Amino acid sequence: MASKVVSFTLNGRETEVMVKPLTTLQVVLREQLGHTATKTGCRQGGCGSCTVLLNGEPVLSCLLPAEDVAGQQVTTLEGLTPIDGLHPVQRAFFDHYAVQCGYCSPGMILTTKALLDRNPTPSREEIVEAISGNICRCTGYTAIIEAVEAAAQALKGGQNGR
Amino acid sequence: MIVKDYFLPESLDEAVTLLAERGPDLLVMAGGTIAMMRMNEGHLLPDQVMGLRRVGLDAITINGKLSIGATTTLSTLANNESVPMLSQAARSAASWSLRNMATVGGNLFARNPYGDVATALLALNADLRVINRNGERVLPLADFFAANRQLEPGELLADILVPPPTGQTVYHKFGRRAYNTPAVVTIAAHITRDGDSVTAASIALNGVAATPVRAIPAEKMLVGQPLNGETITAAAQAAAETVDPPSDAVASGWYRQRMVRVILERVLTQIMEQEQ
Ligand SMILES: Cc1cc2nc3c(=O)[nH]c(=O)nc-3n(C[C@H](O)[C@H](O)[C@H](O)COP(=O)(O)OP(=O)(O)OC[C@H]3O[C@@H](n4cnc5c(N)ncnc54)[C@H](O)[C@@H]3O)c2cc1C
Ligand code: FES
Ligand code: FES
Repeated sequence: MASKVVSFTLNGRETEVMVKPLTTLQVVLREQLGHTATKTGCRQGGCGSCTVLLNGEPVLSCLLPAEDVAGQQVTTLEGLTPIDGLHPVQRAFFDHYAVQCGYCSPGMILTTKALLDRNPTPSREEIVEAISGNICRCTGYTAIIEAVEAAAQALKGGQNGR
Repeated sequence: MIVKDYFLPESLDEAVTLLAERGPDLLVMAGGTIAMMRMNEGHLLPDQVMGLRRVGLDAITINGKLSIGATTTLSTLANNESVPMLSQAARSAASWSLRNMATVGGNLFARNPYGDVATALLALNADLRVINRNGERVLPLADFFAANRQLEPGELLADILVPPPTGQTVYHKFGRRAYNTPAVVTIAAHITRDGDSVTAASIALNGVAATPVRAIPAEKMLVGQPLNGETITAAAQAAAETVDPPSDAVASGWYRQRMVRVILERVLTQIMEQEQ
């Protein structure tokens, strides 16, 4: 059982970890690197709570072997959050009561960030489609959809996030 | 999980060599949305796994036929408009994040009622290029399904070859929700007409058997006939009568059988009303 060294860019920082064969990115982030914003829900690809951005695209870290991301850019919620406050998407989720237990929030927020990067003015339908892989058991989704709309407005208004 | 070796070959050559040396104990994985999930669940406990993300089979090229590399993601196919029915089928599958990982080749191995892209590929008479250490062969997708998705030991799926559609195509996935939903039934149809009358019909159904299947009796009834209310109803009825769909958590077999009729009627009507 030969462990391997995997290097990738995590939230803008060069990162090196020693991984056992086929360890998922989810386990590496949470258990080896202490980045616990990435959640563990189903481990079946069905809930989206483990969503991270790989080169800016949402992927499910529970299904992704850490070795596969060698040399690539991974963004987690930790990387989105500025030192002194909240990213505009986080701010919008906070202001619009789009967070109850918060378990879905990291995945929802990262998916929203990726959506708004591609499509700064999504329709309600496009928002629903984009977040359809992120399950929320608390809010009933309406507050989340409204938060995404508000985030789009805020970002358009020049309140630029990173 | 106690996997001893995880290989990430950098070329197709390296991959088929590894597979030849390691034999059937080496689990092949492309996007991993089926394989990793089953390993996480403990339903699959392989000693050795080979990932295909770096073998360089992730491109779509057009050279007479459309050639889709087996590890092309569903997102890449969804964004490629060369065959609209295929991009639509890819978009209808799962969620954005899953489509960024799931591959077109892997979709052919997905169990019923999954296999949205596979269903469209079956209606388009796609062929598979399969490769092992000693060479390659091409087999019709329909034969692959008839053989219950078995490749020979040592073989990998390299590309999917799609002849350009000559007629009209319509794809309809019917699920219980609008997005990210497994199919109750999926229907993909490719119909060629000359003037009034149908000259070729290819209709693929999914959700009704262990693999996507062609609705042969319905196809036969349509060829040589015009598309009108009567012929459409008869063909849809025939398609429903010849299937015996399974019941699962998504829908009962009873409901699925009725939905085959309803959805096929809608699909054929849409084709009838479209400009040829
Ligand atoms: C939450 C969730 C939702 C889903 N929703 C849908 C849906 O709506 N529609 C749908 O169609 N599917 C759906 N799926 C199923 C699956 O994600 C897709 O079918 C996907 O395309 C499978 O591809 P993959 O590359 O991830 O497969 P993998 O897990 O990589 O492969 C599965 C198996 O196929 C074989 N295989 C794959 N590629 C090759 C190759 N090139 N050569 C030889 N053998 C190979 C191997 O035996 C492998 O173990 C869903 C899955 C999940 C987890
Ligand atoms: S934990 Fe990854 S999708 Fe649920
Ligand atoms: S806030 Fe609890 S799951 Fe979404």
